[in-house]
Amino acid sequence: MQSFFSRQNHEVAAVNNISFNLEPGEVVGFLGGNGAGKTTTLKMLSGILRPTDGKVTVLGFDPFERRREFLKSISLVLGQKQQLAWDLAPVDSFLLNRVIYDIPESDYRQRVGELTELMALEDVIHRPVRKLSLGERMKCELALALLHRPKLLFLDEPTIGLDVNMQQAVRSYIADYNQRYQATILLTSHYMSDVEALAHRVIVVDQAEIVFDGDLRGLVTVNEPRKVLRLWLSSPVKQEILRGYAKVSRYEGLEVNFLVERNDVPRVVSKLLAELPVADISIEEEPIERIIGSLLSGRASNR
Amino acid sequence: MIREFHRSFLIWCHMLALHMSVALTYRAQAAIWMVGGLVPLAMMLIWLEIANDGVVGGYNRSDFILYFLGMFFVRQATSVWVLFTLDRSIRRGELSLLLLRPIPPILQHSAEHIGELILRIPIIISIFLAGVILTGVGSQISCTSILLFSFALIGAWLIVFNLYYCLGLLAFWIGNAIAFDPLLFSLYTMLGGTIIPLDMFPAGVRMALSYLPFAAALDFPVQLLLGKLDVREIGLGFTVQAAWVIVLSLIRSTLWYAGLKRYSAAGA
Repeated sequence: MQSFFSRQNHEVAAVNNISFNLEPGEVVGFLGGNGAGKTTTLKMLSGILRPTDGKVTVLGFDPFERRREFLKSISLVLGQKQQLAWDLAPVDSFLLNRVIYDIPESDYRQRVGELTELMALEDVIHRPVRKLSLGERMKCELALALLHRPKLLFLDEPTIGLDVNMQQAVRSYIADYNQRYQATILLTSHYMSDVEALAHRVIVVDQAEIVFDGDLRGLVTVNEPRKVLRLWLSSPVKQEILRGYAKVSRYEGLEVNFLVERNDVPRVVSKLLAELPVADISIEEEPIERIIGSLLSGRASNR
Repeated sequence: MIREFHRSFLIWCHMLALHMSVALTYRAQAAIWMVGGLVPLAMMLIWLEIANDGVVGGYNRSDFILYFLGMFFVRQATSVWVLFTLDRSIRRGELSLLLLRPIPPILQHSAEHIGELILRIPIIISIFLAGVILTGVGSQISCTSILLFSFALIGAWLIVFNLYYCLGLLAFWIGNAIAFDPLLFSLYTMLGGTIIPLDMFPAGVRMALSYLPFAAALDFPVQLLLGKLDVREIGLGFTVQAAWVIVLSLIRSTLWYAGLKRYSAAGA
């Protein structure tokens, strides 16, 4: 009952100290755990939410004014929400957008042709949306979002729920759109492969603050100074002996993983090759998920 | 300005056509909705029983029949569900998608309603005409009254739509705006004339009620159909309608802009 009579509103800073600039034509990955404020930020950038404090300028506009010229030059794809009308065929939604966004007839025909061809949607766009598979729907959703040729594209989990092939198709389409029209893209995803495939720059947010902003390679070298050395042995070697070379991170019979400082890699490799029965060897970066994971959990333990 | 209006109108017509094709796939739903609108016809039977071939409060048998047939018509033609649409889309964050489009979301909402109305109006007219023919009250209707009734129907629709729109927008502030629906429904039914024709009330009460949006949207158009109002009363009725449309539109746009600042775009 207490909570019924004295309801208090707590202001939660969903986005606190986030400040960044995007260059035209840039593809930026926006990363962070659940509830880090990624989607909130995208909504502020696209004029859906009003920031309680601070300043947002996108393409020279204050997004929250929702000026027509502004809305016509952006697009936001929310992987969990759909813009397509559920009971109609995608092509009906395309036609509606043609009127809403004042797309000239000839441009419209050319763009729909191009989009349907690139994403193999010819058979799909005339069926009611409710009868489409998740992957088909997502591709149509993306096609709809790109029909008015936005200069700025916000993608929130564009590949969520899609199988690997479909993810690949969506990714390559996004990359193609960026190349062709020099569109600026800000992308969030839980699938690191989306980010690796598309973004050159990443911004990592945690607890409503930016914890990293820079290129993907920088994120890897700064936060993970070690590389993974994978070794396949032709005959078993005792773990104690292996530990003498470098830190063993995985030991499974004939397959061994070492974590080696970047500078130290050549020395360790030549030593291993000289002294152990090596069948094969590879040198890899730590998976980026793990790097970001440890970056975030490191922050959590310092708090 | 004119070009702007023309553009919005084109978009609106397009949405209208789209929604009509959606509505056609859900014909059964429309039929169920209409059953809910039969209250006036039930009331008609009760009043006919009470009047028992005599005159009650200035209403004879055919007055009662026409009054409640008209009431049925107006309620059907102004049935509005935008309160539910808004409540849901604000609470669940689906409004975000409409906000991304470079057109005001109200275009979409009104197109959905009018699109469905266009499909329903032939059915409503058929039921009304069947009632008129079967009871033989047709002689009481004139061309003028039909014309005036049609105009008043537009005013009525605008009042009801704006009123429910305002309530729906309260979802920006409160947990569920739907809670207002039963309240508004009762007010409509009691004060709009669905149960008791308004001129059965004492003159003072009737006077006061006629300035409320409920009477302006229900009783007034029906009175025009009955042809019982004089020129002064007709002028006053339309003025009251116009005033409510303006006032409610202003409240609606104020609530809209204030609400957007509080919008939290829940759940993505």
